[in-house]
Amino acid sequence: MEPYYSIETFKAFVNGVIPRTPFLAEQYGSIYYFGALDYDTNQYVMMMLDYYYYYRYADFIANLMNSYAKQLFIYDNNFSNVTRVIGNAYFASLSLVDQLRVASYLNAIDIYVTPDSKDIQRYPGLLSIIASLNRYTMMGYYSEWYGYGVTRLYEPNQRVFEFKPDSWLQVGYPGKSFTYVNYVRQYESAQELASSNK
Amino acid sequence: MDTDVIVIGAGGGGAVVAKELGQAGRKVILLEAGPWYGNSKWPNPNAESGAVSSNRYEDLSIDLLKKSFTDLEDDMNNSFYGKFRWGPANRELAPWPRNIEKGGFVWQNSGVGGTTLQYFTNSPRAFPISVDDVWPITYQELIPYYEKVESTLPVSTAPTTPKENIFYYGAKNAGWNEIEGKDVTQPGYRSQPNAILPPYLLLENKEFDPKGSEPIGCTLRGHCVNGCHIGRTIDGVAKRSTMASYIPLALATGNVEVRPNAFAVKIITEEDQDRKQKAVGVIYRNTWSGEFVELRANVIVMSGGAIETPRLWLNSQLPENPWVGKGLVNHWFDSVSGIFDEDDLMNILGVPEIRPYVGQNAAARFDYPGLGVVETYGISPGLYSSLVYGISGKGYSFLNPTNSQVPWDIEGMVVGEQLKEFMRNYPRTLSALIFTDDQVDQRNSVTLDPELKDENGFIPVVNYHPSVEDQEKREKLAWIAADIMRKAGAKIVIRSNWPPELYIHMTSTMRLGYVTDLNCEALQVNHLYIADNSVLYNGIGGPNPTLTTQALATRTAEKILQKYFNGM
Repeated sequence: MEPYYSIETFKAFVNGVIPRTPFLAEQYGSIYYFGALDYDTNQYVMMMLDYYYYYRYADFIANLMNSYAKQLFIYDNNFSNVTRVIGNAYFASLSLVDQLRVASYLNAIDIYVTPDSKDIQRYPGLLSIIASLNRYTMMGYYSEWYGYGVTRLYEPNQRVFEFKPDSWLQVGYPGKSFTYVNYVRQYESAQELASSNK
Repeated sequence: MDTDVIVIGAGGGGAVVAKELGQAGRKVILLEAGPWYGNSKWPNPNAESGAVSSNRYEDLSIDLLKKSFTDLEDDMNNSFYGKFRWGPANRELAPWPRNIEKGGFVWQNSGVGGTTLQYFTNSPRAFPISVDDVWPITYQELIPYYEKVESTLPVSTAPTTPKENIFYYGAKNAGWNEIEGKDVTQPGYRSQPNAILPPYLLLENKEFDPKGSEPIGCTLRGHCVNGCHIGRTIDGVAKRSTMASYIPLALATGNVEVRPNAFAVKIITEEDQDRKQKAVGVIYRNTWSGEFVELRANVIVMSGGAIETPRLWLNSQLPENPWVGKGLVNHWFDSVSGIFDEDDLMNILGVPEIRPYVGQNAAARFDYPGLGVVETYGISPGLYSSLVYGISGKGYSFLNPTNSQVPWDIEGMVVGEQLKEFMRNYPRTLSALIFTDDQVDQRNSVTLDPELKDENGFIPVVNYHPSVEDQEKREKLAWIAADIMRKAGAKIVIRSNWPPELYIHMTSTMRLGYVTDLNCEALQVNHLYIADNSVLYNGIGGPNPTLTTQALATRTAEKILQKYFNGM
């Protein structure tokens, strides 16, 4: 079981990248309301970080995000509009914009120093992993992953694709397809018609 | 001696050498680190070890390929556990680590077919001006080998769907001409030369009969990157990864044995009479059992790609050479996208959407000898969003607003409500990649990490810092791409501005003339050849490197036969 601050940190992060959007829902329909938290994208990001490297990264990275959030919290007045921090979840207590500022800050520096960072500091790919959290979040949200239903956290060979994720409705992606030959053929005929009418 | 020739790596280059040598009657063992999809000896390639090797065309199974290639992008292309990843066949194991600088990743994969399993199949030739009087061999000398590969794969002109049409419309309005022919000397736009069987149904105006016997060809369904399985046999699969093209031809010779799940960890050498080193064998590690196997042969060919080939050289402690692993070129990619209004699209195309998921993934290009390339791409939404909006060397766009001096409205990563709004417009978005004509610099390198090892040896450290000139070329290309988007009618133009550490077209880490002689045989180790992107002298001006590597590999096979097998 991941610690509370770790879960809260990744929830906060994915929510910053792909939030719920009531304004879009008003304009385009209710499906556009839902965001990363509605489709467990935080679990996807943590699964990636934890199970597919030699080291369980999710905690370590959550820790980093929190310690930088805490520093900004203490020293930077711009971050002082937060009144209450529960269970060391400093990152999750920041506004969405400030969370992304912390993430940018982590992307911009070359050396991470936290009390437990000594062993992991030299691990290959650490720097690229932190900068890749945005990419992982988008892959988790816009790919088929949520559609694996109850099998989505199983080993990849054991997953069963159960349904098209709602994100595909939000972006107008029809999913797997066998052929678009007829569509393109119709399109070509329309083009020919249009050019003969000109 | 176990065989005449051992080829290490069954990707874009190695499969070509194996087929050419097999056809000439030489016995070949082709080692591949990753799994083999679509072969009855590995019915569950990601879950069970299966057999040791296959050397029969009859072992190929299109039904198994259709089972493995699910058209689902996380299953296929997740960089940690996808079927196309740089890692062992067993997906319960971690991927093989590489030490890359922050922000980027290496888009390369193991498996029979190598990275051609997921490549877009773009098969342009080099720009002649980047070869002639630059390379130690002439462009003219490459032409017959280009022609041979183009007819073997085969390469055809990509069909046009709305996403290509809107690009051509913009390029034309921006004042560029359409270019013709394969040897590009002037800037202009054209249809991609792609290694994809043409859409037979489209050409013949036929209805699809699933039980029929005629070839199918490309069905324009947009899954090139996630693994094409359209066809009635493996060698009839529409997308011509080497898994579907050169490997079946190699097996059909009866002389080629392919061993997947075999990671080469050491080249064995001995001293010959002149006290010069010669390669005599290979040690590989079975990725399922962990067992080490030693094989001996007359000739060894390294085809592990621009990262693994220098890594294997260095881990084998072959002679020092100041150019081993040095000179890495990467085409410093970028991505520029345009979002269009439905009405504009109706007026221009006659349809309200571009649909980036329809058609071949990358089917239209703009070439500019001396600068590089701009080419369209459209893929499934998880990969699409993470590439267009999820990677940038510029950070979040909302923290770096653009000014009126640049031709794009947004630069950097897009998140939040804006990301969802832009992704809502995915069907009306056109995206283009940029490949920069970056120059060889000895400081850009693949070296070994001094401490960190995985089960295959010290891990590679990849290091790439483009020059000011490279950056200037890339800026010009980004301006051209943005201008094409505007002239096509895009309402919002987005420049992703990718970091240099996004590795897709890695070449030139074992350069012809520096690490090898003009026949691609190692200068310091006899009987050892190189046939992958690493041996390219430079980045060929920006075009996708695979075809040139395949042409050179065809030539290298000829040279091997001439020198070590009496021309036979």
